Amino acid sequence: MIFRLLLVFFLFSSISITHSNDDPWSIIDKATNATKFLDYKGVFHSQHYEEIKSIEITHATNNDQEFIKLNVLDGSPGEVLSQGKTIYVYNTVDNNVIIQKRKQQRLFPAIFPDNTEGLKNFYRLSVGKSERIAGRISQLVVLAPIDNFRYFHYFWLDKKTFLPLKMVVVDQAENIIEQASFTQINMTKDKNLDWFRPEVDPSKNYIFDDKIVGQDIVKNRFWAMQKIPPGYKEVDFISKRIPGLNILSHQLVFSDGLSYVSLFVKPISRGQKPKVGHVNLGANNICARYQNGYQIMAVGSVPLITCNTFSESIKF
Amino acid sequence: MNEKLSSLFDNELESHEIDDLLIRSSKQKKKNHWTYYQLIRDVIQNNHLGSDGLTKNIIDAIEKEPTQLGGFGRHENTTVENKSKHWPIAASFAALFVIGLTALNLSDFRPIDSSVLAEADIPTDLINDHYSSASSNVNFFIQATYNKNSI
Repeated sequence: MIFRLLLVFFLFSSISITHSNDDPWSIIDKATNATKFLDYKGVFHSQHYEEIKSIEITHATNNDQEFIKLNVLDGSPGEVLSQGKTIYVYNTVDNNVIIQKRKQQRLFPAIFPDNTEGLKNFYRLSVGKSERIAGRISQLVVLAPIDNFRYFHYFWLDKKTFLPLKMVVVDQAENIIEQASFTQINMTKDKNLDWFRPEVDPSKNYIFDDKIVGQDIVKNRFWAMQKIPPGYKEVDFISKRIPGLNILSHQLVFSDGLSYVSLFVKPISRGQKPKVGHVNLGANNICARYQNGYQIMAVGSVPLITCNTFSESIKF
Repeated sequence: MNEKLSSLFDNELESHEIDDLLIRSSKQKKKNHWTYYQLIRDVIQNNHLGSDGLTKNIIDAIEKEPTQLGGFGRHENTTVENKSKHWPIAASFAALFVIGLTALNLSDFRPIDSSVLAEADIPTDLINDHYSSASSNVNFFIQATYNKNSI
């Protein structure tokens, strides 16, 4: 209910901002730059469906290169160290610390795409009232979808710096799908990068895996994509071997700039029954289809119609 | 002359005959015969191995190009170099053989019975793969579990 009231308020306020500012979307560009160029340290809560974790973040820019350290404070330890385009995840599993090289992703608070032009065609921007988040005055900005293929995104941007301090994603029924919010944050001026190193626990075994999944595999598209949801573009294509069989499974990743969907294409083993239909698993919708010996599954925190459209869009 | 060449490969010539034969054969451009006799000798004596590392090259090529049941496309970035005109053909036969074996373990391409997707049918790997490459949520990005077999 509260989101509905807020939405009505924002729709009116969006009219006023159109008159007062030539390009209201410039606020998103400023937020994007803030996530790249500001030096700060803070703690935010990250909630995905019913699971909440506290995460510490330290961000600095040095010689035009970004340095980010993320540290999960609750439960099993986990860290991310990112320098420029290189990102390593330190994931503690039992008595082992698995160090994995990964592809870079848009992680809170750096959730906006570099180019916001694509968002303009599929979201309506409106500006809400000011609120206090983590002791700082913030400006509420809402991106409301123009169709049913994506969710509502609420952002609270720091009034001074435009850094996103809070983000809430809600579905059409106003259920919270995902949210992240700073509980404390400080802008830093110290250019010292001594903090940019992993926490080492000598009692653990460290397993280093420097290979990005599927990096060395020759990829072969033997399908065509037809009628994918508007605004979504392919942002990644990963192929990997199915253990025990010399055949490949594929993962295509699509995004509209804010939402992500994975489309998996996997051969069905003899005797295995293919699955069809859809289920809701936490914040994710999963849609399954069978075609030509392949199990197709779309996975994502997106509306069911988006999930179904993706699973139906692949043709052999 | 050809008879002499044959005797040479069978170790049936005396030293002075070998010198004479080599001089005469080089003058008469007997390179083709020379090659054929070498090949025939190797086959008869069961020493013919083909080009160096042929078998290994074929196995490596198959290893680097996993079976793709959906069709064959052009691979522009393949790192395997052709070292002989024979082994692409051999590799093709070998690949077809592997496809045949693999197909025995896979379902038919005909429509088959399917069942309705349930929560228990969703492999953890599937969700983890999605989170590790398509999540904006830090917690899930980090948590995606390590799967040794998937690397």
